[in-house]
Amino acid sequence: MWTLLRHLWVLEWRTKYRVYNSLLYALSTSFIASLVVSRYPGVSVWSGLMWFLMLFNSITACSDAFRNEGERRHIFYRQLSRPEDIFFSRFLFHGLFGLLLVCLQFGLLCFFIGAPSAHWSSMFLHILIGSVSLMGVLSLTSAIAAMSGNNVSMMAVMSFPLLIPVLMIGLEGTLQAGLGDSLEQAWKFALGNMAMGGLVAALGYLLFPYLWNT
Amino acid sequence: MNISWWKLGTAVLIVYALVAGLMGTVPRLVVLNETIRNLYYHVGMWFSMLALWTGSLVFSIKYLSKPDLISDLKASKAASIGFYMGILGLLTGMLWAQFTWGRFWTNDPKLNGTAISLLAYLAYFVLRGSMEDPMTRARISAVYNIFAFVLMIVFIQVLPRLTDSLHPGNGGNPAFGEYDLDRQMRWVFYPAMIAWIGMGYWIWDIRCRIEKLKMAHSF
Repeated sequence: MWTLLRHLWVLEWRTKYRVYNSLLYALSTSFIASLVVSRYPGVSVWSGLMWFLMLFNSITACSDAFRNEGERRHIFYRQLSRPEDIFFSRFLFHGLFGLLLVCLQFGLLCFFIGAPSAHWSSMFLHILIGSVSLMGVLSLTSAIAAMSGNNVSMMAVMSFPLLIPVLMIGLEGTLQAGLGDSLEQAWKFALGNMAMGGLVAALGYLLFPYLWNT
Repeated sequence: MNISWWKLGTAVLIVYALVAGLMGTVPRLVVLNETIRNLYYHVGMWFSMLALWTGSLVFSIKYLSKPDLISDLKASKAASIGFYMGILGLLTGMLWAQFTWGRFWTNDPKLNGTAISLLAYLAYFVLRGSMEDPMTRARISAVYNIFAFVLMIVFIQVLPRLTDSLHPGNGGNPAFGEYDLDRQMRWVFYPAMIAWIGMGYWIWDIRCRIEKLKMAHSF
């Protein structure tokens, strides 16, 4: 599994396509957001915007997580490693990448339209936890999209309904944290999202071998 | 004429649910008034939808453990009939909401959950339509079906408990059964639930048989 992770890293480093792509995406969406809303828009608009940008950002970042690397490469992977390892290595890779991206997005939004509220650190925590389960859902849907030989739009169609739960729990938690709710109350949502992430990972572990073995 | 017992039972129960549901006595409650009769139909559609989607899940799991196109056919038909039941449940619920809450659509977690699960199943149909090869289609859509079903159940169960809902039994509202589902209504409610589930199962059975005949003719 670690070999696979390193392999992904090397592949990525060779082209750096994904990094630059996502960087530019985060930068331009944050800039557009700053044009659309005024400075210091209030907690609800701010967190809504943040989650909305995160949604699109992670879909773009994850859409080629399981892109078809050709029939021969596929057979090669299959002989060398277990499908569970492949799933987890890509899940981890994209999850870590997504976390970085979310940090960046958070910083950019803070820079362009101002920090959301005095409780920004607990909001940030909620956003980070939510982004992990976001990436979890996306990695399985992108696997499905790739295996069915479909493009990004199919991936978006499949992911949106499944992502809404994660988004709503995360958004609600972020809002409550931003409004300065007590930690116990807001933790309910964070726990909800963590459970969601765990569930998605377990499902991916169970279901991915069926997708992978053609 | 050869008619099985459960079909006869379902037909009798449907007639009973319609007649007793519309004619029987119901408790007079503030705001709800006569609309409480909708309970027999609106909730029944959800029960039927969930039963069908659970059936779809079972056949998807069955397909993954032992690939067989008949299981795939059953899973996909159960999903589509469950979808129609969901639409009916949504429509009856919207009608009810208009007369009790004053709007056809409120931003209620249960409504959101419904909208999401219907969207997820629409995506399932789109996904199925996008693939040509029947075996690949069956395998990949089975995976998606299981994934979507589990997330949907979690969502429907979890989110309304985290936020307030206008529905009974959520967000501090008492559940129907606690005070206003009186004995009279129970006599209609439970048979009505069985009736709608039976109806869904019946339609599913017919659809599967039609498709099997089509498959037999095409080979």
